[in-house]
Amino acid sequence: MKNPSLRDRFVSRLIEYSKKNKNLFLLTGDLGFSVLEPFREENPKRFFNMGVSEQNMMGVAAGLSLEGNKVFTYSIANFATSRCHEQIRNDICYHDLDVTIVATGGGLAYGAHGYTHHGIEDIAIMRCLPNMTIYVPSDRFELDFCFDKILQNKGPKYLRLARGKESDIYQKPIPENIDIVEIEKCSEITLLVCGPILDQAIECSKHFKNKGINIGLYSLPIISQSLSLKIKRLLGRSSIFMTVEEHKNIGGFGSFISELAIGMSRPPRIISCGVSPKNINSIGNQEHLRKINKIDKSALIKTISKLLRTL
Amino acid sequence: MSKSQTLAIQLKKDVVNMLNRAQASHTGGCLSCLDIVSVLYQEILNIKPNKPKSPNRDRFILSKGHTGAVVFATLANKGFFPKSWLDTFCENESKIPGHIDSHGILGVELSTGSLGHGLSVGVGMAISLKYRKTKANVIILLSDGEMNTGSTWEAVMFASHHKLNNIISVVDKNKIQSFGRTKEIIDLDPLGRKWKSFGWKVYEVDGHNHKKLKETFLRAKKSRTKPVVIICDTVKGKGIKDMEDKLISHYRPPTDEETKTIMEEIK
Repeated sequence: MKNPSLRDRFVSRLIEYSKKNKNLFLLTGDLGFSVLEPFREENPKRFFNMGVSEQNMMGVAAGLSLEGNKVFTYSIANFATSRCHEQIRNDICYHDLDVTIVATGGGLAYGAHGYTHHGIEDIAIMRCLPNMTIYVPSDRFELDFCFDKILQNKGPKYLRLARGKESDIYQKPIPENIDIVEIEKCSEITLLVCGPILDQAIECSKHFKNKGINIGLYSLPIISQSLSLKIKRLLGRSSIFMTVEEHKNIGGFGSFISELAIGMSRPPRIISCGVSPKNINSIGNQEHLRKINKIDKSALIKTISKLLRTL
Repeated sequence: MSKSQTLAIQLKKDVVNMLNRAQASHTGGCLSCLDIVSVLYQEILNIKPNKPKSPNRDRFILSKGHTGAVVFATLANKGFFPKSWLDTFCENESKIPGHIDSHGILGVELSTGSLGHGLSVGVGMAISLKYRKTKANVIILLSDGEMNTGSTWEAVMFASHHKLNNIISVVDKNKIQSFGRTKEIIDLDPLGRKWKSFGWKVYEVDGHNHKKLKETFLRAKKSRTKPVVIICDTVKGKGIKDMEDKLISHYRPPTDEETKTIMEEIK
């Protein structure tokens, strides 16, 4: 049987949970065609298409949550974060409410649609909000891992999906008691990766492994201040870390790691690889845009090769 | 004199004192909605200080959060928290800031201060109340300047589409916003017809007439299919002669002399 896509997996997990939890509501900003219908059929009274009204959607989500409900909203990354940022800030985050903002199109997944659809600032503007935890799964196994944590977390959450059809990276479920997934042990140069760009980092790491060089590799699908200690411990184990993300290299995952490193007495060197602000006019498919922004496998190999020559 | 009028007199005294002591702004908007809030808490809302989180309570949201002083004074007078707290209005580490805040305060449903948020949150509450078959109302007090916000109209359309007859919006139409008259900035009129065309049941009433306000609220609670809006014609800065219907009332706190005059009048 074909593996379900991330989006389908998300909806089936939501339906499964809604059967046990009658306080679960799902709101969509008029998106989710051919994805959300099964939830609507299963829970007609707990599903609302809010129309193209993201500000109202976030306010309504806050109101539902204030009444003790667990609320999910669904939209495309920029519509779900930028357009309604103040509602998320004041109504959801300040009141520390159980609302999960689910976004598709995180990163460059909708590359050919143009800048309006490039979700490349979303982590930056969500990360600075109070009580917010961010989840960026790279495949369906990380999605399951994140989803279990989302069900337990009673505060504001941002679940960033990409196209939602990403191939499997892992072969088996991720144990729930870890927050940082070790793929290759820490080495002199270690990659820290957030989101579906993990596939490129894995290819890059394999390339060096075949040459007998170990490049460390960790996936961090959760961005939260609560992980500070664990991350700092990891940062203390090597001298060079390269962060890789499909997000602007301002304010996102790389900035999160750098901010933690700054607080260390002997911080490692952090090299942040992300989308360059210079390239925002570039249009093309995800593969093309990853290449332009030097976050594809070949570019990562090149960057690491250069670094290795300096060691 | 009705009970709500007695409450209004007490609130006026408390609010003017609070604003004067803190040298805070928004005197005009506080005084324009003071009678509305008095009637709501005295005659309409089912909210009890000993059961502030009761599932059956009515939900009241002050969407025009800049007039939080009126609601704080009301809650203190109704026994939700000690009246001495009013003396700390806007002070360092006070529980009661210039814009209404629900943190650490019983009886406040939502912290507001940026316009255009309250109605959407109220809609979320109304959906949940209907889902649970709870017969409580959600009452949201909005400003007329707030009618400029697109988010409010998003919520207006949504509420009528879903026939949320458990919502009562109240617009404090004092006709002056931050930087001029509403008529000169973005003319709202005919405001009632606008709401009506968006599918709401509309009442227009003198926002300082307690008897009329009470009657209208009671009628509004009986709506069967539509959400209701009550547009209250009010006077910004009502009760302070030099502030009535003047833009400056949006910014200026009551002077010591005005405060003294109000206290003497009330005696």
